[in-house]
Amino acid sequence: MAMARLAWRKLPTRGGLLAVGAGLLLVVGVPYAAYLSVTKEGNFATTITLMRSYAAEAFFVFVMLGAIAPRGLYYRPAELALLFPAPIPRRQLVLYNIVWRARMSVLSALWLAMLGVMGGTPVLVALAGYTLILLLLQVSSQCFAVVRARLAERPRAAYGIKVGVASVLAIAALLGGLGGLLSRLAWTTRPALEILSADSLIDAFPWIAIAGGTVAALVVATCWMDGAYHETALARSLDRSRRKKRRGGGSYGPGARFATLKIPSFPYLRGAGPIAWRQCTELLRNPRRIVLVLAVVAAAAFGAMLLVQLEAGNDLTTITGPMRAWVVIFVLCIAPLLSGDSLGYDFRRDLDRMATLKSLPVAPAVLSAGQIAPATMFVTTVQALGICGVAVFTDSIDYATVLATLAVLIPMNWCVIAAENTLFLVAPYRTVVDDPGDMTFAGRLALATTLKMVSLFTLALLAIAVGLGALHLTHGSPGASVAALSMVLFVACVPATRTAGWAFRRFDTGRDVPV
Amino acid sequence: MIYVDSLVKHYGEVTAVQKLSFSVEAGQILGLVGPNGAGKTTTLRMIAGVHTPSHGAVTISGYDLAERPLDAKKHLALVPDQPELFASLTIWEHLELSARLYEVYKWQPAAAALLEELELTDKRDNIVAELSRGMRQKVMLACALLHEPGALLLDEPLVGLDPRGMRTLFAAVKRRADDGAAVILSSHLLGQVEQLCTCFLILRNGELLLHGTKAEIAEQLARREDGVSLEQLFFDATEGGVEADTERRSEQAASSA
Repeated sequence: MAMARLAWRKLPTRGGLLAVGAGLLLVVGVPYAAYLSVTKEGNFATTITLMRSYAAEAFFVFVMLGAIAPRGLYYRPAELALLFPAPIPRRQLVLYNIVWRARMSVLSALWLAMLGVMGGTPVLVALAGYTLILLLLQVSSQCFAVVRARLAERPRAAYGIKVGVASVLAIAALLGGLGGLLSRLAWTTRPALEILSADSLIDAFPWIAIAGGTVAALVVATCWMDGAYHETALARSLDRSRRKKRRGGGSYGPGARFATLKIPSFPYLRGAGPIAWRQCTELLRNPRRIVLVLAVVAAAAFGAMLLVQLEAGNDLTTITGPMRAWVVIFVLCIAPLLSGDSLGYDFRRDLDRMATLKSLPVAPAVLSAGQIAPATMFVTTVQALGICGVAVFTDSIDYATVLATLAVLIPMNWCVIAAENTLFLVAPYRTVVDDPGDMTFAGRLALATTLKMVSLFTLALLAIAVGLGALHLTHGSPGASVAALSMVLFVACVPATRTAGWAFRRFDTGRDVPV
Repeated sequence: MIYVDSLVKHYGEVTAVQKLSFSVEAGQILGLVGPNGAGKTTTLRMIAGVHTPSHGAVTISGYDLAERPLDAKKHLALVPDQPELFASLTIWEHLELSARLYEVYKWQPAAAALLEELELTDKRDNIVAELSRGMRQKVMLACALLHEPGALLLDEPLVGLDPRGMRTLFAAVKRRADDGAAVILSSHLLGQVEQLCTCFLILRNGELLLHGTKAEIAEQLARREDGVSLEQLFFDATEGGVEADTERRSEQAASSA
């Protein structure tokens, strides 16, 4: 009841609206998209065509959003301590920051280029295109951050610019030319996108030259501009570092309103109960992360719907209705597991409390079970919501199948989360990156995700093999097959938890806690 | 009671603690002092079962930490150097969690008395993320004391405490020692430690330099003047004083012979 009252009070706030949006997308949007897809009433091909037509405008808006976000002026704590008091000219400092951040753009471009090549774009064209797109985002963010720092010293000029922009937008809206204005403005960022549509590097060269020139001009402008750079950068960086440290270390307290939410104590269960109770309480009192995971899951499932339709080429006979529903269910099952780091209500959030946890009179495997259980419960709940929604709206899956799926999902989630935690304890990392250009972090995350996927698919293959074996032995009884499959997975939970316990026992707080 | 026997901790080729042996009897408060990197925190964490020793054994209230870790841990409490609490829980919920984990039944009166003793009663329903470092330090201590441990380990407990907070903490620790707990306290604030502790252990580079009461340490260092402070003894011991005094005493013994 207290939860409902609080939800009602939070509804008009920004966070509340975001939560409602994510919830609606997950519970109604995705199933409705599935319904449209299987009943031939929808036409996602139109949606995809629209998305392609307005890619340039969308990219421009994205650049503008990046410019508004205060990320451009971020420096790491060591940089603040050592570089800011040092006799380094401001322009060199700006240049250093741009080059440092650009590393990540190049790395990300490599990943994206691989996808581009799979889509038929020549490798060098894809690499150049994505590198310049990401560099443009990085550099424009830096440039606008310096512009804002400069304008902060000149309130009249800032006011004039705001009034000017608002007036132009209002006039364009009144004349019905807002779309046209956006298209024209989008030409400033369009060359970077045009590179990707070229057939060869020679064809792409003019666009590469224009986009590269734009990036260079922004770099020069950023270095050239004056303003209260140091003060603004210092204030923003300190604020961001503080937030990141608190989030990464798990010491991010809830808002006062959420502090009143309580859950009853769990049974002792050799110490696992109180550990799980504490994780559940923290999960309940920090709903932002829940909203984030819901949003990721909803977006992933919605994206899957679009992709399924795109692959079908709007020919609904290519992929049958139930098959589409299963594709969405697959995404619904995978997405919350992949967003585990964002949720992290297990060992991943307790990096700074390992000494306390290790000094408790609770056996490592039992303590691990207490840590893993809440995350498993949450992930399963999100999956169950989505699957039930798809089943209700599409009518292409019967309820016995839904129940069987959930019976398999619970131990499956447990095993995957246990494997994730084992991996984390063996090679620990901070779940919140201190520096967006931190390649070590990016590499570890990529490795962790790969290992997670490998463990997930190995387990799935094993379970399917057992299920098929049971199907064969029982001469086609699906019930027996599902029972055998989930039994194998439930049994697998024991060694998975023990392995996490082993990893917890060998975790050394003097050596393994990353900075 | 705490018995430490030949405790060693290696990190790769670095030896953090070397063959450390000592004991703390019921009612004793041992001050663990040493320069930065001496191995104080590593020693405390090995005794608490947080770090696994490379060699050696620890016995807490008669239980071998390696053989019966859960029984040993039920009789000890560690207050780490960083008061990292569970950010979304209140002070009272921390005490509830501690009580349940250490299987303390009917814990509420004891918890209320502890909050009173540590001057936290009016904050009992506050989320710990809202508290200052000193307050969180006190909450850590309250959680540690709730199950009435036979061995109490405090790692730099005075950092972040104001003078009143220090006095409160000293009184609480002294009371537990008087009730029969064996206490080990590490700190750099030698003047404060000197007032509270009944004996001292000086570490340097993971090695035990000196161990005993202040008078015994002064005797070992051949400092016979009255009123010599722990700080003076510390510098004598850690900055070459031990070797110099040993040589001086050998020379004195040789000349008198």
